[in-house]
This record gives sequence, structure tokens and C-alpha cells, in this order.
Amino acid sequence: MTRGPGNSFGNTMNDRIGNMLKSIVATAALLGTVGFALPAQAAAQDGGTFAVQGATIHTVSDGVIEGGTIVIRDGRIIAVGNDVDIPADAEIIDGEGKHVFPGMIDSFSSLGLTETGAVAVTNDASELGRWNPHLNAHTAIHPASEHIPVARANGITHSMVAPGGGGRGFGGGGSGIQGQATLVHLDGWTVEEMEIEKTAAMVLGWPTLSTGFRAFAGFGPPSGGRSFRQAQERFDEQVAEIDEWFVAAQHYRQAVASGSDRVPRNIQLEHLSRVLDRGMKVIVRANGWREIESAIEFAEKWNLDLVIAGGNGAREIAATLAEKNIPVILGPVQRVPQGEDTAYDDPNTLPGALHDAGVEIAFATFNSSDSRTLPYEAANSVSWGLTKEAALEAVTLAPARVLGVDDRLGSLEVGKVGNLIVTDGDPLEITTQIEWVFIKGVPSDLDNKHRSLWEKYNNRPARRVTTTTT
Amino acid sequence: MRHPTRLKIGRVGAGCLALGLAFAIPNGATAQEQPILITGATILTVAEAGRIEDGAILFQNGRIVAVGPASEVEAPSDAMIIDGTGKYVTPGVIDAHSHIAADAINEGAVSVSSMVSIHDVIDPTDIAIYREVAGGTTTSHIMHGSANPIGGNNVVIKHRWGEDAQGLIFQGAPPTIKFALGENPKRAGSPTLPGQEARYPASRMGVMDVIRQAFIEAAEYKAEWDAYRARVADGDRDAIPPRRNLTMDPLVEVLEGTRYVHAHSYRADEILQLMRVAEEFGFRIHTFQHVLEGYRVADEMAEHGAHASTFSDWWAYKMEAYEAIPYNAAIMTQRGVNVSINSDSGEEGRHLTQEAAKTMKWGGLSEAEALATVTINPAIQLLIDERVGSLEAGKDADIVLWENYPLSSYAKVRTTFIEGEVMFDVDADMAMRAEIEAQKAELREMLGEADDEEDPDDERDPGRRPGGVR
Amino acid sequence: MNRTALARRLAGGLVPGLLVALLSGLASPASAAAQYMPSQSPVPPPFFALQNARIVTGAGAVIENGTVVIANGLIEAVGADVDIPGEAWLIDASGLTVYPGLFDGLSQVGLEGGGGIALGAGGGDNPFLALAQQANQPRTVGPEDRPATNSWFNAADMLDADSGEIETWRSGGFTNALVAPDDGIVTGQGVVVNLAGDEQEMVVKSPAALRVTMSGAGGFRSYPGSLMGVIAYIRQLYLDADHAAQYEARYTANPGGQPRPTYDRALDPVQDAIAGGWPTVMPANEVRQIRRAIKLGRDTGARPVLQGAHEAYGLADEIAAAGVPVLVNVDWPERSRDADPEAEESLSSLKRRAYAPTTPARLEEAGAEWAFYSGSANSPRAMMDKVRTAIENGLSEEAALEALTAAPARIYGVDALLGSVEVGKIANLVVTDGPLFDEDTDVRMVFVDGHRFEEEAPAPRPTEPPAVDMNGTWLLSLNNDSQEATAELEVSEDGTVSGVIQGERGEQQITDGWVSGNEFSITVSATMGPGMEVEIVYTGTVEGDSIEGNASFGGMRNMDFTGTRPGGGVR
Repeated sequence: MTRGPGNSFGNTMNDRIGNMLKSIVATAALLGTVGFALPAQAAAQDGGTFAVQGATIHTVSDGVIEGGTIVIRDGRIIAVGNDVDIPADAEIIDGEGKHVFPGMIDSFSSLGLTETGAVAVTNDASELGRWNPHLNAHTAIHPASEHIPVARANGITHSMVAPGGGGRGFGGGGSGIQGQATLVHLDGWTVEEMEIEKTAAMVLGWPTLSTGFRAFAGFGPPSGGRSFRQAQERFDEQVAEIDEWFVAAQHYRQAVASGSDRVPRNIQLEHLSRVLDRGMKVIVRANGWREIESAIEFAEKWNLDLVIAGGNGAREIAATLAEKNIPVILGPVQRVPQGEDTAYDDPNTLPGALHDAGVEIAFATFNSSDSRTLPYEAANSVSWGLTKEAALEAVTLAPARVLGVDDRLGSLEVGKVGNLIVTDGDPLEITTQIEWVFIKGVPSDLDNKHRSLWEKYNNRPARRVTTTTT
Repeated sequence: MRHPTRLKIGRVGAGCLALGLAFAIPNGATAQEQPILITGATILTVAEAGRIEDGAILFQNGRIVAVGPASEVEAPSDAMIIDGTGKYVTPGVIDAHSHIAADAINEGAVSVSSMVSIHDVIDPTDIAIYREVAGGTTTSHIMHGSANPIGGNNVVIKHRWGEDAQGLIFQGAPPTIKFALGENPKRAGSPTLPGQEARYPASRMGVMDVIRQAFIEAAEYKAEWDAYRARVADGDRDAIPPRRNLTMDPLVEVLEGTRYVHAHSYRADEILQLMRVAEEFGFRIHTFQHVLEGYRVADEMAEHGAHASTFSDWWAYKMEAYEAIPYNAAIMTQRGVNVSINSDSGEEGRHLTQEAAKTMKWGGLSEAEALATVTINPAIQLLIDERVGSLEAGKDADIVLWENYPLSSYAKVRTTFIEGEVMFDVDADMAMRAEIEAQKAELREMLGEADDEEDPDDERDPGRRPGGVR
Repeated sequence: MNRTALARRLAGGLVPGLLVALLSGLASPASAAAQYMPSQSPVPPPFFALQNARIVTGAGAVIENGTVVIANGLIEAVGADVDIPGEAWLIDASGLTVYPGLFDGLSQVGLEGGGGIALGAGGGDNPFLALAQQANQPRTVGPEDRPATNSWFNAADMLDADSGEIETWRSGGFTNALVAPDDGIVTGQGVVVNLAGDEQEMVVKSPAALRVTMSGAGGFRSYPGSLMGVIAYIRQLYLDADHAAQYEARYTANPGGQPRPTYDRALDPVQDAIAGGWPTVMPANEVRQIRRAIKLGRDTGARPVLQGAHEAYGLADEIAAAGVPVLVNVDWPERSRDADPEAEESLSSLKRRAYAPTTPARLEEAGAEWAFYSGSANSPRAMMDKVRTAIENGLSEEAALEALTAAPARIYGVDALLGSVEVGKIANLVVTDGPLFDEDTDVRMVFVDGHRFEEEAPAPRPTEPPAVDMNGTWLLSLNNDSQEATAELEVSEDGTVSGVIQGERGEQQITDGWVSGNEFSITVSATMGPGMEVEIVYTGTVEGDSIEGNASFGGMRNMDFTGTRPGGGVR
């Protein structure tokens, strides 16, 4: 039942519109109303021209336009505003009562890498070994993963897919160099069609100072941990190990640059050396403030373009992060606070606190099947100090800035890629329906495994009660 | 030198503190004596009265006295009046599947563990009890795990944070037992270690076989006791009672219809098969838990009379969850099954109304239907709907006052009452944070470990931790 | 080794190599000692009179200047003015105080192998060891398998009179203990022992208690694997014992035509325990554990004695009202010495540390029946230290003494024999040179079963002034560089040494130390494991910038050491 993306060879525009129609009818069935007219006809090649007319347009970069129109042509936004000329060949979507937002970005996911958490053979998010700078998530993304259309249908239009993140049951793991993350659109027949930035960032797992003590419930003392001195020694050793890799990478780069023909090719160092002198983003997974501080020191030593991912303890070091312009990709807001005396709302207040301190924040799910819940992670901070505007920005323009693609993505501005969603309300609100998703300027198929199964079983004829012989 | 204790020993619960600080209600075990009136709020009663705009609710002695339009509910002169303007009131949230507040969850070495009970291992010190109250949850079904086809006995608690184990128990809630089907009881995820005997069953065939065998044995055991009782009734003074078998006793109660089965399940086929096995022995599967493929056999479930307690949108974390869809609750509801949304986790248990809201988005349940999935429906599943689950005169005053719309990703609890007592309140919580810090300081002083001056080497940002610790 | 102990070890599943050793041990004749052999140590006549003593009888008033007469192992007379029989050896106890011998409420002292390999709980830092131990346990799948039910084990069969620990405890004033096996859910039968004599003589009452732990630890491999499984199992065990007793009574009365009762060695002692009202020691440290144990006792008919009770401070009235006796673990919780400094200790943990030592005072106030036990305090000195902490936290010295004497005697039903200095009781006494709970008080004499054990007066510190300068930082290496430590020493003018020793177990403050001539002694207190405090005494001689000597770890282990002072002297 799953259909391919709409902007591609082998799928006629009529099919595509057919699918769209189906989605819309389905949505309308849910809502009990059909709120807008369907495009009259299919567009031409090169993605075509579309206009959403008379909608509330949330540009993110430049406020909200009531009763505005946005025009997309050949994959790009060509006009946004109240007074916009709509090209004659444009397919027009009536935006009356609708809202237009930039498509949302899951800043750290395992979409396409993890299919079924507990089934090891369906997981490609983590590789053996601790030193894999040469591996790239791009290599293993499964464009036909059922998770991608599920996320897309809720308005997630692109994601940074990273190794080592893993789905349920797959922890981010220990310290080391986990590999390269890739930034993709959530639509495309192949990963090449999905690609935005093949090598978006190098992902490092930072060592932790955790002593790992855990208390046994019931009887007996806590056990299974190590002393803090041991934890600290281990931490220092592991940081030193990472440092050795960077020394080697620098040496390799210099050796290769010398033009010598005696330097054996070393693919690990070749890739790692690209991060030196801010050549590539370096995303360090770290939670505790001391670990973050250590990562900052390290990044300064090696002149790295640092982004922190996780950041549960970032509150304690917020001013430093702000001052040094180090963004944080936040782990789940919907998590249990650590430690029995920690405030019940500690995860909820963290994003607002960081934002208020001037830290650039972006939300992420670090997951695959839950990627569609990204907007709720942001929303769960709003009643605890983060403004709605900041929350929206933290799933759109802020991640685009964090990942260095805000020239193309993240807001509704002329010239940017036509990644947008049309909704009946606030996309961070659970009950909001996503009615259109445009990716690279083309309407995306909103059908997915869940919707197909719903349609199928919703239409199951009422069971005829039969009596079995006894 | 130590000093004898000065500090109050005993509970430092939110309830305690909130009562002391925010409200002038006598502390301790006595029920709320002063009447409380919340007025001017939107009241979602989950009862015939439906949604009441500008409503009022009056409660005293732990029971609801009146609910209705603000103009019609009169407060006694001694009532404390809470202005609910702009706020919402719902029944306390009920979680039909939880694993908090217990020192043990699985008795895993046996395929039938009906001899064990969560009653014996309630942990009233688990902070999750409080954190869930802070999300509006007032009653939870604390369940044995899913390691065995027939698991242990469960317990229903109220989140009376600060009470001891006995005080948490929902008195009068009928007894329940856990069953489990599919991957977990066949131990699919736990390969046998070398030298270790495999535990039967290892297939879905064997799972049903274990259940059938157990009930064959239970029926024989019951017959033995029935025969003994008949002999005694006939005046036989020499009759020796048969050996009490704690594994069989709960199963006899199931056969007699006095203990209710809650069966962990995923796939449609196993759901169907278990109903048939139960019918063979003349009992009913009261509620299927998780039941992620319930949408495929909803008619059969309705016919059997089984309820369903499911997740909102989790899927793909294991093979048997790969066909889970977020429309599950809606399809089952629409086909006549009583459906609840449960947490199965101390995290999700803090925002169950948000999970309920997802049934509006995915499948189009109404506000009332959605809210019912976390209030009256689980109450029905736990056979406590005479007491809790809706706002009606005479029911327990388990009431949540929300800052904003509860079926929303922005939902935030203002105050939670259990039987009229404040168990959580945002202001009281803030005060409690300070109180806890003060108590800690006093205890450190007592122990001669008081903090010296600020550590000059502390490189953390000044003014950190604005969220404070609880 | 006797058969029962061997059977227990076999059941415990030892490795084959060890089994061979055990079997060959069995082959050596155990009863060969029946032939006459002249005594190899002097045996004086068993009559003593302690004169001019201050006598704290533990029963009524203190006798400021009195006499205790001991004859044939019993107390024959006590009083200010008593007739002294002619056969009595006169001991002038001027300046000394006589107390009832101290009684450790729960211990493994004198048991072979410490009373058993703890099921699953062992292994310490090594989870694989625990797993390996588990793998060697037979797999049990239901209550009928009687998992880890060693109720027929009796500590009296596991005694080793030659154990060095017996002397250690006795010289600290302890004349009695309840010793119980340590292995299993039902570990076996506890026994009241005297801490002197041979294995037979040691036993005062057997059995005196049943001991139950809550450690199933079978995980997903073996039943019961969880706390609730253990509790359910204990319930079933008591039901089965009760049912078996009913059936056996019926069968015995009329054996014809009925199936014979099934032999079940695990059930008999439980039946006896129910019928005889044996105290049943159950772990119960935290509030909910205490309430669980009380409830389990009520439900099963066991008579629980709570073991641990660190959180009983808030429940003293409830415990007293329930009439459940308590064994208070003197090993008060302490802050982990090497915790993450950033990990803020929780309020509940702080409370437990602050209030646990107030538990005895609260129990005293509430009038509960309670006694002390040593827990992980592994020496009498450490134990008395912790008792002092309870006294500092409001416990009266009278109640402290009672909790170390008469109270455990009552709990285990031996109060007619032990617990006070009264005529007719067993002559178990401790004689001190000062008030029992003063830090400077030393034990000078101990009587067990009327046998006298004299303790040497502590060696006075040498008076000769220091002939060498020990100030500075020393590097110590113990036993051929296997361990290293740094000692920072500061010597005052009178030769008293202070400072710290930094070793593998972190930083240790010097608690006592002196230099005299070219000899020195330095004492530190080190934590060897959770709750295990050990006193380490370094003694030796100084030669310029090098030292050498011997380090004694709690009197249990010795290591030679050498040391140098790279920086030279300070002066």
C-alpha cells in the first residue's frame, strides 16, 4: 500500500494527485469537513509551481503574515507576502483558515537506520569498534523504511540522521568517534535524492564521569559501580585517546599535504582530518556539565566547530555555551528527571533556561519510530518558560542554523527550498492535522504504513457472528 | 558531635507541604474537612454533564458534593474558593498499566508466577508517585511484568505521596492478575546461556498451552477443595483440608470470576486465541493490555466483552509492535470496545492526557472520548468506576485543576487533589524545593558536613540551576 | 568437618577440586581423641572470687564494692557482703568493674566459612563471580523444590572453635553471640554460643532461632528470582509446614490405609519453629521492609525479629505496639568515601545517615524489645565505637548495656542463663578498668563458663623521647611493591605523630601515633569494603631517610613494608 514519493520518475502526476486526494479525503473524513479546494491539474516538470493562497503564514524568520500567499516554483520559494502575484500556471491551494509553516527538522535521528528496535538484524545505526570517523549514516539509510513516511506525515520534512543514535534498545553507546551524520530530506526514491548535506557532521561520543552506581531495589547496598577516582581516571584516559586520534589526523593531513608519495592512505584519518580547523561540524554527545566543559576545552584546542548533543546538564554551563556560541541539540524533554530530589519539571524548564541564557537550541528525538513526536518535545517546554515562537524556531530555523543550512532551509523566505507544511493549526499541538507537506517544492505523499492499515481495518466489514460446532 | 534529631521525621511529601503552605487544611490522615469550591473553570466531567463552561465543582470530606454551572453550585460559607477562570478541571487521570512504586516487577524463572503479588513489594518511596501526580495521575494499576504466560497479581494504588504501602492501596479495587502473550513470555529476547536450561514455552503455541495446562490444574485443585468443603458441610470431622497452593488460588478466583485478567498482548492472533482459551474454561479476559493489533480483532474483542488498554503511538520497538498504529484506540472505540491509554512507564505516566489527545488526532475521537481513555474507561477496566473516573456528585474528589487545556501538548497541571487533599500544587512544589534544600543543609550541619565556602575552583557559571532542585 | 556441614557444602555446589579436598577431610578419623592424654595446658580449679569490684549486675542496683563468686561455671554469689568459699582463687578487682558478658545479637563468629556462601549476593565488585555462583546452584522452578531452603542447617554443626575471631571478640568483652548460617532464603537454625570452649561446650541453646533472608537472586533463571517471589515462597513454605504437620498428626494416629507423609527435610524445622515459637530473624532495614516483615510474620505465624532497623527511628511506637523484637545493626550508614563530588546526596540518604543512629534512643523511649548486633562492624572495638555513636544520639548507657546483654538473652530465650550478674546464671562476665562505654576503657578480664581469660593491659607508650626526625613525606611500599602509599607525617615535640596516609583506599587520617627512640607506631582507620572498617597499625624503626617495619591489618593480616623520604627531613 505504501506509495513512492511524488516527485519522481515512474509516478505520474495524476497518481500523485490521486494520492493527495486520498490523503485529503482521509483527513476530511477525520475532521468531518472538506476545507479547501483541490489543485485543478497536475504541474509540469521540474517540480512545478504551487501557491497557498490566503493562509496564515508563519515565516519564522520574519513574523506571521495573516491572509498571505506563498508561491513555490521549481523547488524554491519565489514569493511570500500579502501582495503576491500568483503565476498563471500555479496550482492553487486555498489557504483559508489554514496555516503554513516551514517543514520541521529532527536534528538528530536514526531514521532509515533502525527499523525494528529489538530486532538486531534491522539495525544499522551502530557499528563495532569505537573509532569510525570514516563511516557515514548516508551509506545505510534505507529510503523505503516505513518510519520515513510516518515522520513525514506529521510535518517532519528533514532530519540529520546520525550513527550511534539508535532506536529503542540501542543506546548511543560509549565514547569514541561514531561516524558522520548526514542531512536528508524525508522524501526520495534513493538516498541521493534525499541528500541535503552528505557529510553534515562528525559525531563523537564523549566519555562520561558517571560512577555507574545503581541501587538495588529492596535489600542490599548499591553496587555495580566504580569509585569516582576510577571514573575520573577512565574519563581522562578516554579523552586522551580521542586526543591521540586528532593528533594522528593532523599529522596525516600534514603528511599528505607535503605531496609525499610515501604516505599510505588511511581512510579513518583522512575523514577525521576534515573536521580540523572547523572544516566540518563536530557533534559531541555529552550530558553532564563537566563532560560538556571538557568537550569545549577539547574543541578549542583543536579549533573545532562544536555542537553539543544531549545536554541534560547544560543548564549549569549555559553562560559559557552562550558566550562561545556553542549550540545544543537537546535530548528528549519527555524524560524522567535524574535523581530523586530533582525538580519534577527539570527537563521541561531546561530549554527555556538555555534559550534565555542565549544558547542556540534545537530539538531532536534521537530516535526513528518516535521522530514524528518531535513537535511535542518542543511544546512540552512552552508551559515552562520557552515561548511558542522560540519552540517553533527550535524545530525549524534554529536547527538549520545549527547544521549550517539556514541559507536554504528552516524558514519561509524567498529563495529557500520549498519545504513547508500546511496545517489546520499549530503544528506543535497534538490535535493539529498536517494537510500538505511540501518537500523540495513538491507535495509529498502523506500516505504511510499507519494510515494504510487504518484504512484497511477501519473498512473491515462488521464481523458476522458465526457459531462454531461444539 | 551529633545532635539528637530536631527535624521532623516522616513524610516530606508534596501533600504535606502543600497542605501546610498553600491551604489551611488539617494535615495527616484525616479526610479533607473544609469544603473546597473551584469556580469559573471549564469542567470536563467525563460524565453525562459533559463539558461545562464557566462551571464549578464543590468537594468536601474527600467526596464531590456538586458539579455544574458556576451559577448553580453554591458554596458553604466556610468553603475555600479557588478561582478557576481560564483554567480547566478534569477527573484525576487513571493509568491502567504502570510499573512504578514497586521493588520487584518480574518473577521470571517460572512460566506461571501467579503465587507472587505486587502487594508484597509496594515501594511508597518511589518519587515517580509524586512526579505522576504532578502530571495529573491519581490512580495507577501497578502490574507484574510480562515474563510469564501467567504472571503475578497486581495492585491498584492511589498516588497518595507520603503514605506508606498500605496507605497507597486503592481499598476495594477488585483483584487482578497479569497474563502475557507473545515475545516476552516466550523469552524471544533472552537467549538461553550455555549450560542453562531453556524455559518452556518458546512459541506462541506453547504460551497458550501453558495457560491451558494451568487452568486444567486449577480446575482440579478447585474440585479438590470443593469436595473437602462438601465433606465438612456433611459433618465429616476427620477431613483434612487439601494443601493450599498459592499458585493455584488466584487461578481459582479467575475461574470463579472474582479476579480479573489483564493480558499483555500484541498480535491479533494471540488476542483471539486467548479469548478462546478463556471461553473454554468459562471465564473472560477482562482487559487486553498493549493490544497493539487490537484494531484487527476489535469486533471479536467486543463480542467477548474484553476491554483494551493500549499505547497512544509507540510502534516498531519490537517485531510484534511493527504493525502497531496510532489509530488503534480509535478503531477499537468505534467498534464498541472500552479503550484506555496507559503509560507502562514512569515517564509517560506524567503526561497521559497528552497521550489521550493523540486519539483525537489519529482516528478522530471526540474530546470526551479521548479524555475518557485516561479517566472513566480505565476506571471501568479496574472496576473502580463507581468511585473514580468522572466528576459526579458522590465520587472521590480526585480532581485535577489545569493551567490550560489538558488534551494538549502544552498541558500543565496547577493542582492535583486526591480525595480532596492537595497532592500536588505548582506553588507548593516551589516552596517544597526550598524546604528540601533547607532540610538538607540542616542535616549536613547535624552530620558535621556543612558546606564550607564556595569552591574557588568551581568553574560553573554563577547563577546556574535556576530551575532548582526539588 | 561433620557430615551436615559437608552436606551443606555439597548442596551449595562447590567446584570439583574443592570437593575432593572436602571428601579427603571426611576420611580423617574425627573420633580418635577418645584416648587418655595428659592435659597440655594447666587447668585450675573452677572457683574464683572477684573482690572489691564495682559490679554492674544488669539487674537492679550497681554494687559499688562487692564480690562475685564463681563456681563450676556458674555465678554462686554476688553482693557487697558475701561468703567466699575456701576453694576460690581470690582476685583483687579494686578499681575494676564487672559487667555481664556482652552478647552480639547476630553474628557469624566462629562459623566455618562465615556460615556459608551468600547466595547470589556474593561476588562483591565482580558480577561474574555472582553469576558463576548462581550457575552452580541447582535450578528451582517452584516452591516444591524448596529453593535455597536450608532450614535443617544448624549453626551448632558449623562451629570451628579454633577460629581466631572468637578470641578477638572475647577479648573485647563479648562472651556470647547468636550465630546463624548465612546461606539461602532460609539459612538455617541460629544458636546461642559462648565464645570459648570446644564446639560442644560453646553451644548454650540450639536451636535458638530460625534465620530468613530476602535474597532470592535467582533472576530469570531460578525461582524465586525476585523479592515478591521470595515473600510468596516463604508464605507457601509456612503453609506447607502447617499442612504437613496436620497430615502427619493424622497419619501417626492412624497409619493404615493412608499414603505415608512425604519426607521433606526442609519442612520439619519450620514446623518446629511454628510450634515452638522460635524467633525468626528477618532483614528489615527500611521503613517498608520493617512493615513487610511484621506483616509477613502475622500472615505466616512466624515470630519475626527485625534485623537491621536503620529506619526504625520513625516507627519505634509501631514496632513496640506490634511486640516485634529488633536487632539493630550498629554499622550505621556512611557516606561513600569515593562518591562523585557533583552527585548531590539525596535528602532520603542524608536522613538515613543522620537518623539511623537515633534508632536505639527511639526504641528505648518506645519501650520496644531490642538488641544490638555487629553487622559489618568486624571488631569489638569498631562495634563499641558505633554503640557510642548511638549513645551520643540520645541512647542511655543503661539501655545500651541492656541491648548488649539482657535484651538479646530475652529475645533468644536464654535470659535464665545469661544477660546479668545474678546467682545461678552462667558465669560469663567482662571486667573492665573503667565505665564500659568510655573510649579509654580497656577490658582486663573475661569469664566464659567460669573460665578466666586475662587480657594484657595495653602496652604503655614508650616514654623515651624521639631520637629521630620523622617529619616529612614518606613513600611506603608494602610487600615487594605490591602496594604503595604516601605518608605525610608531622611529629610534635612530645613524639606524637599526626598526618595522613594516602594509599589505594584513599586518604586515611592518622588516629594514633608516636615516635620513641628510633621506633614508631602509626595507627589509621581504613575502609576495606562497604561498612568494613579496619584499623591498620604500622610499627617499625627509622634510620635517616628510610624506614622499615610491619603493618598489621586489624590483627588479621600482616605485611612488611619499607619506606623512603625522597625530600629528606623538614628541619
